[in-house]
Amino acid sequence: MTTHPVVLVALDGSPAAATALPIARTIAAQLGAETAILHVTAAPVSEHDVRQYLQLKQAGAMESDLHLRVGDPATMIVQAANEATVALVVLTTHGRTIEQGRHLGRVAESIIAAATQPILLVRPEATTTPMHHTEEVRRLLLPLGGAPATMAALHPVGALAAQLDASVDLLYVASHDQDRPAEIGGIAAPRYVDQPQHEWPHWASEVIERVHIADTEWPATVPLRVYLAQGESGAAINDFAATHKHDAIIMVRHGRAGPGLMSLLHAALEAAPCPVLLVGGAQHEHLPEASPSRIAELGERGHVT
Amino acid sequence: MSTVTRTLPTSAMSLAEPPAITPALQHSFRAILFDWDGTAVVDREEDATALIGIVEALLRLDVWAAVVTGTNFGNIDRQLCRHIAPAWRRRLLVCVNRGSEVYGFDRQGTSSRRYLRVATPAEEQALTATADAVRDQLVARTGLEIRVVYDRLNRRKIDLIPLPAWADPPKARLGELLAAVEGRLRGAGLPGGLGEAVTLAERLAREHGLPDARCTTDVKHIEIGLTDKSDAMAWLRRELLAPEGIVWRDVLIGGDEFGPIAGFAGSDDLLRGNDEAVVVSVGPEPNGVPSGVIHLGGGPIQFRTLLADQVWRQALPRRDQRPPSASRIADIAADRSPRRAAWRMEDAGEAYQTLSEHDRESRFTVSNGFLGVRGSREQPTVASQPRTYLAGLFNTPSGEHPIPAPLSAPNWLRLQVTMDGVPLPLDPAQGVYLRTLDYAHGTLVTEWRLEDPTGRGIRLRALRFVSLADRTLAVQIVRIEVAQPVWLALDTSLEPPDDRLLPVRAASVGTEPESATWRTADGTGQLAVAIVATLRCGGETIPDDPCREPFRHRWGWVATPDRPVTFTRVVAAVRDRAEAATTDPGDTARAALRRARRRGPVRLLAAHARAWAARWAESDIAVAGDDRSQAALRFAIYHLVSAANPDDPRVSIGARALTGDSYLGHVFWDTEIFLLPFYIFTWPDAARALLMYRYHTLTAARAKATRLGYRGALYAWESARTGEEATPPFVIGPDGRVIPIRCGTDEQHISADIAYAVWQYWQATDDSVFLQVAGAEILLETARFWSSRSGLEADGRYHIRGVIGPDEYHEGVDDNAFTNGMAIWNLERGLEVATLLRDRWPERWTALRDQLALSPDELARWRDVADRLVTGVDAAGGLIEQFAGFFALESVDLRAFIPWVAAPDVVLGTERTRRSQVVKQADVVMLLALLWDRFPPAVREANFRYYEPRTGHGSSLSPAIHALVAARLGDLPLAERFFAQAAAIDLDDTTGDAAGGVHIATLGGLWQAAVLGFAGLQLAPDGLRFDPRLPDRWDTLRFPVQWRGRHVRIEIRRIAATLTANITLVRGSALIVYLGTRTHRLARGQSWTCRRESGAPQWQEEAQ
Repeated sequence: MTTHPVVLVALDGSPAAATALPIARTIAAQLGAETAILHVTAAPVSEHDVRQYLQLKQAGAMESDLHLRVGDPATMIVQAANEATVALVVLTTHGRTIEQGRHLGRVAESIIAAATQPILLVRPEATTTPMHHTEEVRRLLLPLGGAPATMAALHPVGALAAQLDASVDLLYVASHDQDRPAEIGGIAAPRYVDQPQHEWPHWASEVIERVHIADTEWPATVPLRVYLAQGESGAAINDFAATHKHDAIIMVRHGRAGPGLMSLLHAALEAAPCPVLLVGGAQHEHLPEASPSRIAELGERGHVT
Repeated sequence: MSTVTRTLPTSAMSLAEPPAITPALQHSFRAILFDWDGTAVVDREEDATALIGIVEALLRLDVWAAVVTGTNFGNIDRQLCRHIAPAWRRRLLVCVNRGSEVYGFDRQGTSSRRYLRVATPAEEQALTATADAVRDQLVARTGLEIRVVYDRLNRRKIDLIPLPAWADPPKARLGELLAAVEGRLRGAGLPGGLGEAVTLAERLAREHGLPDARCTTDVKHIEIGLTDKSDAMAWLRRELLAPEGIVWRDVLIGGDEFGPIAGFAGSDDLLRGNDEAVVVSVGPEPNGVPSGVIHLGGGPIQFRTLLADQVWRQALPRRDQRPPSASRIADIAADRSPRRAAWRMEDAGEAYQTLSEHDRESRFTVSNGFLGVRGSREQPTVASQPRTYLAGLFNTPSGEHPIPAPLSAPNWLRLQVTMDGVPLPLDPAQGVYLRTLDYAHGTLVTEWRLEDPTGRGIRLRALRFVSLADRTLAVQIVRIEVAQPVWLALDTSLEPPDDRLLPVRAASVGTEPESATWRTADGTGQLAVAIVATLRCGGETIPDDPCREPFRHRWGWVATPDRPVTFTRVVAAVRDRAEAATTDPGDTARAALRRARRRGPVRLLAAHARAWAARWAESDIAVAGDDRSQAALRFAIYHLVSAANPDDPRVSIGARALTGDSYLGHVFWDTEIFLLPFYIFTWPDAARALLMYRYHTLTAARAKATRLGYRGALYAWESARTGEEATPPFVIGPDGRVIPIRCGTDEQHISADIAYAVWQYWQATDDSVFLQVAGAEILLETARFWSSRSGLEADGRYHIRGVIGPDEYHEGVDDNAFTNGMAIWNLERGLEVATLLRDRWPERWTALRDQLALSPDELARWRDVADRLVTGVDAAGGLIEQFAGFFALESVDLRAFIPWVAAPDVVLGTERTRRSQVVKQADVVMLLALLWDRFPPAVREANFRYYEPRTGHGSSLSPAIHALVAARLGDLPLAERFFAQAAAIDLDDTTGDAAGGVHIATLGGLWQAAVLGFAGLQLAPDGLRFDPRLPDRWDTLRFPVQWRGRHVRIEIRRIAATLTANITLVRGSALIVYLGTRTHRLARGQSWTCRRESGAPQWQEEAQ
């Protein structure tokens, strides 16, 4: 594509997918990156036809923005996403169709499992508010469980937040669907709050301290705040993000996007009021649903993002 | 039924008071060798249960025990060995048949004969011939009946008085026996009596070919044998002491017959193996004892007391026989033997866990109540939060809501080692870092081993302590060893202070000692630090390189494996109140440091270790059978001792003591309700100092009451240096919202809590000076507050409206049962102390009455309020309504939320919590715990069963108190569960709970759960009351307490289904002790033992 940093946005021509483009362009501007639009088709088509099909002119896209690939959509998007210059991939959670009861399309799910770059998942249903089209991404919400492994995986969050010039709010969710950390070095939501006037400030500062201990290179320019919510995890995260007007919810893939993350992701995507930003590398060999044959199967069935 | 309770003979009085006994007995012996009949037991029919328990305890503590007796193994096995748990018999030896046999036990507890003296046929014949000849000659000369007993191994016994009346004379009748035998022999024509008979036996033995025969007498018999007890001692020296490396001064020898009888040395004199061994006699010894034998008298009872004292001493940290060196203390800390396991906490074996570093720094704090030094690494990493707190040193920032916060002295521990010009990496992942907190000596030992990239190794072992003997001093001793010759450099410095400390007198380079003085930014205090640092190698001081910065030193030298170096840094830290300062605290710090230098670090360490040993002797709780509970209690007591300073009546203990930043060093009701019981019962001087802090802050408490429109004294919910209210008025909650904090105005029960602690201290100590000077005024002023706080309403009752009780989930409630109950109690004690002063110290009463303007009308109103204040108690069922309207709130089944994923009010939400019966922490249950006797048993039971399921334990204060009350109610599984929950709060590494400091109130609560709960200790007007119950896993619970100058030791032991309680008064005059429904007047030196079979309702005095 280019040697400059790129924000890659995959469009399939559906109105839903089109909602990702303005956000991608906003973030690209924040990152000082170029926007690259990727369209995958089963057979070669003319660029002109694609431009018309995607209504890129109306969207104000430059000619150089469009990149065409032929083949299986998921495979092609992952291949493009893993190029070194790609700083971020922007996808909508689904394209034209989505299975009943699901909040994440199969192609998107496959890309999440296989791509190593950060992925911003845009929920088309949540883009009706103007903020998501025009406002910059400045306030990130990072749900946190307090396990040492999670703490140790925050480096890409800090790096991306610094690039975006964004702040990060750490959110603990006291929920029965989330295990309390059981490893040495964990810090849980306080079980005992003897005196809130002392317990909360100390707890918040201790969480922040631990982030800095776990990631000694956490950028000094990225402010951290700590919050606690309660309830079912996905709903609590979404409610908090809506109440505090977060621009994106961050989810960390620390080495693997295991069932815990996927289930939380599905739960959040059910009603996320803002895009969900996945950071950290995925290792698709851990994920049966992300196997190449599964991706191929999905491609043959014609699902696009 | 006879009783084990006996008044010891006068001659034995000194024994039972360890501090007064012969210094030689104030020692932890490694081997105890003792006679059986007359020493360990009265006779062979005695029930030796008490002895068994004590011997087993000694064996469990790695002490060797050896019985040395003339009888056979079967008798000792029947009375002792088979009753000792097999696993612990390995260190038991039984030397029987007067030195002819030794039995021991393998790891399974199976006995085997270790030694047998086999007589030759000729020796057997000679023994018989000798005995027969002695008999024949005596019969010929006296005409008396004299018999020979043949069936003894390697010996024959000649019965000089085979009369029915003297068939089996007890040792106690030895004098009568001697008179009877002598009268019999002399009267029948043997003018030399017994002595002549023994001489005859010795001569005849030689004549019969036994030149080395052992002729002894127990007065009734003359015994002629091939061996005697000296042979047993020789075997023990050869087969036990030498292989085990036990020196004679670590051997205690006990017997009852050392002194001469009829001109012959007593039979136990043969036990005296070496002059260095400590030898005691508990026998009557009518002719005195040989030089070197300590005569205690008192018989087996006294011997058991002596052994019990040894159990106590063994369980304590070993008192070193010589001043401990730093390396010796460090070795002790590093000792991994099971014996030491319960006396230390360590990181050993784990990778350095940076994310839990703050928790560990809190737990590994060394503190002396004035200085508190977190257990941070000497070479700080990104995870380090090194702090050296000084009690009472606060700074209050200016602003709309000024909240005082503690200050730390500059970090003085920092070291930087450079190897061949390369600074040692600070990456915590490199090398091995071990950290061991030695509870016994109050020291932290760290060890760091690492290699540089070329494989060169270095080891730094550092010991640090803050002196319990001189609280201004902190010491760091570091030994540096290398595996190969290398150029080393050591840089040490004092880190820049907190920016809230402003320089007053800067240090100048080259002065000796170096010192600097700072003042707090708010101008209320000063801090001075003086430091001396030295590096020595092989007894010589290595000079440091000149440095231009104060407190900075650099040494460079060629290190070799055979020449380890020792770096020593001694710090004196002094805090002074600016307004009270008349001298430069720097002068005080320098003077303290000069004194310390004169003494040297070894003596400083020895004095510190002795101070800790003394505290452990007064406060340790030993639990056998449950290592986790034992570890939790040692951890708790270590920090409780560390937190207090009996010498400073102007500071108290903050919610995290001197171990962390959280809670800003503020003092809450925690101190009086959760900590004071420990100090009252184990360290009254510390308790008095803590209460004097409340006396010195009475002015601020009066001002707060006045400000809120009341009279008397309303103490600050949170206080710091001055006692003024220091509660933040609001906090940003975890959801980002502002939470108003109303405790500073509405949580008023603290005044009654302080009054309660004052009264408990007075009751437990009889400290009338404190009562007159300070305590009475606190009681009267707090009573006055409650009178003014209560309003008489149309229902004819007084009410206290709009308060917060211990259950802080419900704010602004009316007639909180805890508050009102404690207020009533406070009013009654106010009236009681007024009467007490008037009767006993009328001048003081007059002065105080006039000073406080107390009128008879006011006292009458106190009585009226106390009588008519709403209590919340339902007259029919006895259920206490926690506050008006509580019963009407939503009932929530809290079981559905277990395990809690966060504090209950977070999980349920603040609003729902407020509208429900979810209780944050013990509230009514706390009232039961404090005023136990005011409620009938059925009321206690009903209320605990009602409130326990409704309590979410959102406060760390709650589980331990529930353990206490559950234990008193006999629900031991529940008590055990709450005890474990409380213990985990500071020891669990997965929650981050301890990062801001240890929960000192929880630790005090653990002590209370063990002593006031499981042992059931309560104050009685004339002594102490116990109602012991042990959790299933606890075999033994043992602890000391003090009451009005008396020092009492309690041991509760379970053997099978029998619970045995042994209570000993080791110092002070008699007191009354209660055990269930039994009562006993316990005199000095006495021990009282009772037992209760499982399911039995009453305790029974132990049968003899």
